[in-house]
Amino acid sequence: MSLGAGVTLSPQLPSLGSVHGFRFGFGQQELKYPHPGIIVAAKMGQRAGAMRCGVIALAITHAKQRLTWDAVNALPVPFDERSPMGLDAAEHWVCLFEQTVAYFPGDTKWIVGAGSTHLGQATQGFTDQVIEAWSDYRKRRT
Amino acid sequence: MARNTGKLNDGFAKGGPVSKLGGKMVPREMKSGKLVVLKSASSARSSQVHARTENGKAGLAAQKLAVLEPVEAWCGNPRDMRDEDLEFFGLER
Repeated sequence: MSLGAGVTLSPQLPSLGSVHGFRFGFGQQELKYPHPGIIVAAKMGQRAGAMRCGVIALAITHAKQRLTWDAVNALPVPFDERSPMGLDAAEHWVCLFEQTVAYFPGDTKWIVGAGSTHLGQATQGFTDQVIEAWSDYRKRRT
Repeated sequence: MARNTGKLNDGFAKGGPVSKLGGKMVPREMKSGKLVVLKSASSARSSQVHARTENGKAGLAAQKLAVLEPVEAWCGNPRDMRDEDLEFFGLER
């Protein structure tokens, strides 16, 4: 797994904090809605007898999220982060409650080469903030 | 916080009536017009990977959003991650 934003341990692994287009379920099984997703985990490993590149990405949405002081379920994307992340200037939110776990073939050079699916990269600081919030959300049961 | 599946998808393919297209369930909005374009995977250097581009309405969707198509994917709440995924990434529940 990569250790920080923009740091890739293998040239075949996408960086933490990089933003790509993914499909998300948002509560449905059949349909996968296209949204930008920020990568919070990436790892190469064996899965079902084959080498796979696994990534975990959180959905980014325009839809305003309601925040409370004791239950962070989404993070607003700071204005200065939006352009580097490939997002427009409108308000965006990282949804801590909606993730995709995706596995790709062992040859993952395409993740960088695909270009059009790669929207941008969050800063180290915001990436760390997202990963910490995601980890807290996963472990919080109430 | 409760999910708001309606607004979350603002500007992108929405839920609601669906129809079959190529054997795969897709929203009606995606079926109509020329919203869906399947790009060649050759540029992606993999025969197993496709990048799909779709038009939306506003903001990011004003651009064409290409999405990665993995060989396997699971979507949902991080608290409900499958055990096998937790093990792959070395995460604790």
